[in-house]
Amino acid sequence: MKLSGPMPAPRSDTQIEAELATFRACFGEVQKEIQRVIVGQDQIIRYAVMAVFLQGHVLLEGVPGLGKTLLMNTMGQVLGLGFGRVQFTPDLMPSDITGTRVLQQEPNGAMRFEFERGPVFTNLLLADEINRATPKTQSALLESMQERQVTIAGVTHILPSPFVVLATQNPLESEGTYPLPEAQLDRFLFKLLIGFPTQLELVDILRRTTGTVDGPPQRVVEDPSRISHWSRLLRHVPIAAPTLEFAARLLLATHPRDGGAKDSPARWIRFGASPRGLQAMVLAAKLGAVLDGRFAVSRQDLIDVAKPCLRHRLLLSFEAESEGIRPDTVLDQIVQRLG
Amino acid sequence: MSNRQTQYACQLNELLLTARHEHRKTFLIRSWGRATIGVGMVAGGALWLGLAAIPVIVLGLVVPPAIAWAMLLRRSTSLAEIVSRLDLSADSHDRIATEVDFLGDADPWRQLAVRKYDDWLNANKATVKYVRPKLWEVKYAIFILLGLLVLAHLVSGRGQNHSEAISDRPEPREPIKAAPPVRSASRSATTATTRAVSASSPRRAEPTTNNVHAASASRPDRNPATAGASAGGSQASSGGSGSSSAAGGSTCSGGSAGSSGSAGSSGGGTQGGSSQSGARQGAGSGSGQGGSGSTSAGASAGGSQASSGGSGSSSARSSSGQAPAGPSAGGSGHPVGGAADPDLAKGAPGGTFAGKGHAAITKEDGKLVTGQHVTIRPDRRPGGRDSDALTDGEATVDETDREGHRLADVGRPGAYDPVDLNRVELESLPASRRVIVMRYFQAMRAQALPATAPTGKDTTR
Repeated sequence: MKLSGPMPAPRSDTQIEAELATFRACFGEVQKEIQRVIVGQDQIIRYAVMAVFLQGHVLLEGVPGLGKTLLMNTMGQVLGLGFGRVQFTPDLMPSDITGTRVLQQEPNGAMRFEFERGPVFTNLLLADEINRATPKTQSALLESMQERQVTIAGVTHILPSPFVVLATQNPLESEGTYPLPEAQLDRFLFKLLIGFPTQLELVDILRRTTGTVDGPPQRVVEDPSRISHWSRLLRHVPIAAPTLEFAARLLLATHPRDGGAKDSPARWIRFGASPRGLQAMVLAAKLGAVLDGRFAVSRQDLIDVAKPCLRHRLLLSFEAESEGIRPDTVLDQIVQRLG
Repeated sequence: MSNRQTQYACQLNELLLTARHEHRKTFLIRSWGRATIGVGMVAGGALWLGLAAIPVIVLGLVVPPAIAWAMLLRRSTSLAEIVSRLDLSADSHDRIATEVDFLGDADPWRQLAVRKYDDWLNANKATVKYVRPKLWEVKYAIFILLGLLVLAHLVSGRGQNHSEAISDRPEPREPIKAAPPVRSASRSATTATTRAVSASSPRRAEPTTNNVHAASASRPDRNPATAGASAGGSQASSGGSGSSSAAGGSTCSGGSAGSSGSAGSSGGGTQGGSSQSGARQGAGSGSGQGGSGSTSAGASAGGSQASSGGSGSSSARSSSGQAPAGPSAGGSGHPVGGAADPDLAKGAPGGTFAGKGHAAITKEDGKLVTGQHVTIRPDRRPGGRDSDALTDGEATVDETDREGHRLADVGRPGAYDPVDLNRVELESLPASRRVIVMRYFQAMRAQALPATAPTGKDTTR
């Protein structure tokens, strides 16, 4: 499916229905094209593409060699977006990400500073092993991730749209790593856990990578502005008041307000999710409802996206860490209690 | 709502119409039930506090429906309440709740959702049903029922506990002065000064030559024999009046109790009978002797018969000698132990048994029978204690408190102290209020007794 050109905002329910149908088809095409390259990891692909259409950032966690970088690269090609990659190391400086001013000599011999853009000026930024950089360098992404702009020497530079950071971190290596601060974790829309492939998937990976190459993935979205258009469109998907109340209850249930009751899952949590997590959950639920063929958000949509939206926003207590309790387990219990 | 929106939401409207009807019906019944229970408890409390019954009952009939309708009007407009009563899965519930929320919104996105969900509702109409809510009252019905029973028990006055105050009552009782004779016919019967002494005060039970002691048990209702003794006392009082009607006016209960008493009672009766015979023969000193066994009963019965004999110093003795025996001419069988009243001596209805410093019970028709209406009034004779402060009141004889004490027994030894009658007006009180009065008697009696403690002197001469 080749889509190009901006579309006017739908004014009637018939136009809305048609527009959403087009979006669903496009989303399916993108997924399908990525799955030609990435074996398995269907949910990871789905959420990664969702994050792009929602213009949110994704934190990928998984062991090396699972195709994280390949996924980002493929997404950029399929969506027709610019792709940049930064390998985070302990000696990486903020200017290595955002860019810096360099002294340039003009033809007439005059010297002046010019802004040299960093790799952050792209649509899809792969921040590989982000937790290996120092907190100072990590913080260089804060402004760009939230405000989608970079301020250098008092000058603000707007990042291209869409701008999506796809960061990876290796859970196994702890030496020489700097855990991401909560403020930066909160800026990621999803945190996706890349699991190890199954035996069938491994066989398929071998068949595809060690045999003949099928060719690069096809570009589905010709005009990147359509992604921003759909992103704005998805925000119109309505959500009823009872569903919003349920989302708020779900978020509040992650806060240990009841003093850590014995039977409360919140007893494992030191700090709960922020309102930004609630926003992420509702936005993702809207997209999930549209992809499911519905035109309003349901509770199940919220529940479906609760884990990827909230798992990195929960700060577990020492007891939970010592007992091996994972955020997903806590979220499962919370959802179960809310019914 | 525009026609288009109505068209989109026709299935939802149909569903909501049905559900709202069911909801209103259910909620009205539930509200009425809850309001009735609440108002019923309030009414019970009002009755307990002695408020007028009729306004409370009228209030109970009017207020619950009004409250039910008010609650219905307030809550039946909530569509969310109705939707929450639909038997749906979580997903279906979300769809309908969303449709309800978007129903009146003109936003095209929301109207699209309404239209889509209405289509879905049309296809799944059969699966959507209204669920009648389970009333929490049913869950707690047993506790509510128990609460109502306790409330009814309290309102009826059956739950009062007087035993403690009665058991604390000090003995002996204050000696009672006999009423002065007013007629020559009864003068002979009252020449012997009468003194009624409680059976629990042996030192006062000693018979004397000229004084006749009518022994009475302190708790006639707890001992058949003593009940007979009291009955005998009543007969003695009647005899004291010298009136044939009064003599025949012995209470049925008292007579039967006396007859059904122990052998002593029978013996006493027999001996008393002989005394009565003697009295009829004009013997100035008909003497009866109480039988052994239940001595107090015998003594009392004997006393009563002897009092029928009336004239002279008839006496009945207990063979045991321990229990006070002795018929008395005009010996009072009255609970208060008062002497015969001049009015009663006349044989006229409304005659009063009066004792000094005590209230009197007037018999309306000359008989003191179960269910009879009696008037309680103070002793207004000169020298009567607190006579000015006492007020009249009415009650039925068989009206009892929770321990079974009859109201007519007010003032009877072991029952309520008549001194406290001056503090209440029983006639103006509803039945439930009288129970409180009885409790008040108990409380006041403890204060009144020290002032009325017997001096040990015979003041009846």
